[in-house]
Amino acid sequence: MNRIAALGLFACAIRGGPVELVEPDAADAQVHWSDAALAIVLADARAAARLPFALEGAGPGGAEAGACDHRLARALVLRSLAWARAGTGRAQVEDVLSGCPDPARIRRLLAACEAIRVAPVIRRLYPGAAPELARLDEFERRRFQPRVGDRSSARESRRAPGWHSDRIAAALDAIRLGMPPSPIGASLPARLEAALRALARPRATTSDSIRCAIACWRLERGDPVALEALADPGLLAIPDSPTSAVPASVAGGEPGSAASEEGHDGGRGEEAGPADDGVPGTGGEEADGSPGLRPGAARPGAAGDDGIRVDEWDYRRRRFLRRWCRIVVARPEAGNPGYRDDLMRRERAQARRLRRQFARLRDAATRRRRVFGDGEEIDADDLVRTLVERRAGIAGDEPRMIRREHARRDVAVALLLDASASTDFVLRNPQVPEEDPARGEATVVEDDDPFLWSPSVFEPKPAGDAPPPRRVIDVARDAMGLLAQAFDALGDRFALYAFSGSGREQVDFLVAKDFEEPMAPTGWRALAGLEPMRSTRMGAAIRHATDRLARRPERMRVLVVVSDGYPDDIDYGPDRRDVEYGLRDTARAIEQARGRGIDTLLVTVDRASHDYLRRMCPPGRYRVIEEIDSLAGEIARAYRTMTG
Amino acid sequence: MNDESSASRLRSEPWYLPVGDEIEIFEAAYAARLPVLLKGPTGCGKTRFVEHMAWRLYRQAATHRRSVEVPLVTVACHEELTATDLVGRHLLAADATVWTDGPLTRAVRSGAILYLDEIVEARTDTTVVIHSLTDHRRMLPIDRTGELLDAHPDFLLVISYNPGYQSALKDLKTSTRQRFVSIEFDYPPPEAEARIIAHEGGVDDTTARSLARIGAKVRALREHGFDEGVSTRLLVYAASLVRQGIAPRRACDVAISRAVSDDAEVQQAVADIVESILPPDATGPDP
Repeated sequence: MNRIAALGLFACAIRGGPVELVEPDAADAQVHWSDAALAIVLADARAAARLPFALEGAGPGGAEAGACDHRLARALVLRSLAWARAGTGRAQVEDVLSGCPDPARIRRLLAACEAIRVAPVIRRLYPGAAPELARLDEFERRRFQPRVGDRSSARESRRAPGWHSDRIAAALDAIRLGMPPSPIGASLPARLEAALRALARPRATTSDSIRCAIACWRLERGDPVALEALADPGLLAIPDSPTSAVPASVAGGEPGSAASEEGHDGGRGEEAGPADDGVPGTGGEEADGSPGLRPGAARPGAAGDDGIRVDEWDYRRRRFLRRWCRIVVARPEAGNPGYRDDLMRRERAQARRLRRQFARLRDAATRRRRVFGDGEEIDADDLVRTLVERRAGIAGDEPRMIRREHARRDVAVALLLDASASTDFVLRNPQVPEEDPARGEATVVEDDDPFLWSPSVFEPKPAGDAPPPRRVIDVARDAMGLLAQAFDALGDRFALYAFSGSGREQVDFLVAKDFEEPMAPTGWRALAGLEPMRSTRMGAAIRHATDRLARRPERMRVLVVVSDGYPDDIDYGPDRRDVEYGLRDTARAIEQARGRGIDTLLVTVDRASHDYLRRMCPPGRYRVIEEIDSLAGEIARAYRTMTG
Repeated sequence: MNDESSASRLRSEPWYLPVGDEIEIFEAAYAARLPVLLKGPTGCGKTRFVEHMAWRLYRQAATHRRSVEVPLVTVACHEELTATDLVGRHLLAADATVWTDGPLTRAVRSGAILYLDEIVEARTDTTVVIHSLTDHRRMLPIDRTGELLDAHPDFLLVISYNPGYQSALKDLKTSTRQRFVSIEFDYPPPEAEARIIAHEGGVDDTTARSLARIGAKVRALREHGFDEGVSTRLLVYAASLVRQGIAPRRACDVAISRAVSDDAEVQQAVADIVESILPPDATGPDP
């Protein structure tokens, strides 16, 4: 199990939105964790939150405390991501920051104050994580000590006039960590200190934090009436406004009006916060579904409704990009009309063998069984036997009935062929001498570098060779043709699809033959016309083929994907060199198809692909074809086991 | 097919907590004898709702319907279910073949509510059989006996299906779907779900609230590649285990974390949610 992935999921659940756990960089080291936490609250709930997180190496306790264990990691996630649930009012904070003279500094102070307030709320909401949250505090306290113990600096700060920002920040941290009143060498004004400590009480709200933050900010600036902000956040820009009464919560008594005026009770906020508790609606995924729920809907280019749109899986953010790819359905141009005859002549033996194998499959499927009890037909022979026995006074068996299990083959199969440019690849032909210099390295089938498969590396094909060079597409096309005639003989419903494309707005989905169409003659012509085209956005094509199969009434539905290499497209993931994105998306598409009751088989003629296939497919549902000419036979064999 | 268990006779009121106007809608639909389609994820209370409504309409109302022996006929549809299974078949008796009504025919004759649970699972021929019952004709032609059976005035057809998270999961044909009044269900809001868990699972309020929060958190994963969520039913199971003396974290482990997914990462994430929200179990090993 991938612990980081599990933790990422946990983080998504806690935030109620996408979260990316990232290795902290130099810039992150300059930022207090509470700043990052506040930033996440203020971010768009549908945008991915970036949570800097030391994934390896020393944990938050520093090198001496050892690596970060799973529970501690969980506590770190909660400490930063549970703010919204702990009642941090996004609108209020935005309001204050938009209207104040020094937003950056006030935001920093507010983050520190709000951290004081939410810490106990989070401990209460997540009692199971309370011990680890306490451990995190302990680590922070330990790192705090040296600074506190440094007497000279303490003396210095006592001498220093006024309150400069570092001291305020340190004081706020000290209060959050429950340390004694004056660890930094001098006390804050008693009234402010009391107000800050009151933030940790159960009914404090974000408004209280805002008041404290503004008071701190004014104290930093040497403002004589700094503490008046405790009573009224409206005093931001007007330093000489008349003093109002100090609220009960600030005076240290029972928290009263100040806490209740916003109605943001920390404890209740958990159940009351609809934004975070909201469960994404089900059934709203129709074509016109509300865009508000879907992260992808807001993205440019995803809103257009031309053509069919399918989702894509972004494994980095662990979410679906809704309606991300546009499927363009087309028919291949009609090819050589003599293709079928030519194929049957060339591959007569194999064609006959496949038909024979499939015929056996058909016979096996129509077997009827005599059963006791319930069945669909009366078994006349058995009934006569029973009646005779009864007349004769023999207590014989009950009459049996006939049950036809899988009486007719109730199977629909879609063959989905990769028609990307890489299928233009010329295969080694046993009849043609190997070392043809014109073809050069392009014929090295073993090479597993995905870039070798891109069209740029191909030399022009030698013209006028006696047996025309066979390309991957030729072999795959023949295999489809051979299987098609065998399916026809078997009576299984089948469709022949191919895919290619260029970018997510242009995923070409070619229909050579659909389920309801006859193979002859149009299907054959279309199949003959399949030629290598562009890229391999496999996930999108699989999803669309799945949609088509899912509409079939047949009891058993099978999707066979024939490919020659890595899923690849110009914008398949943020980095084209990162094949992982395409793999994960394809794996997810296959998983989704299986979740919808469609059996899948992925066949590849790329020998190097064994490893990635293993990750993409359930065991027994992939084949790597070593000898390309056995492609049809291999698919047929797998198909027999799957549907027999 | 055993549809005559005591549960379907509805001797006592099946408990149901309404979350919207579903009861009024159903009653109005029943008054107009309009067939009803219940849509919603698994374990969100569709079946319980039908039981409750059958009880209200047949057991609580002061009408002749009180005398209907089996007011609710439930058929759990599966992929081998055929039209014959629903309508009826000839069975062999001592000296002859005897026609035996299937559950659909029995409900149509007696004026009960027929509930076809997870209708999309059934073979397509079954959905065609019910068509003539869902419009103004309200009749059932029985091919094998040649009978044209008019539905009892009290008969009502209710079907349910789970549209799933993905759009076209296993879709109901439009021609079928458009014959029904559709009531959409989803998992109840946390407050209501906590009440349901407390009532059904027999646990105290605090435990029920914690379980409801776990449910909401796990469902927040729906957008992140884990499509199923956790049903109210599973949360009630967890509560029932707690009531039987199983420590809460352990109960959630077996009833929720292990049940919702086979994916190790999802299981771990769900376990993390459980362990964050529930304090450590007093007894037994800490998972």
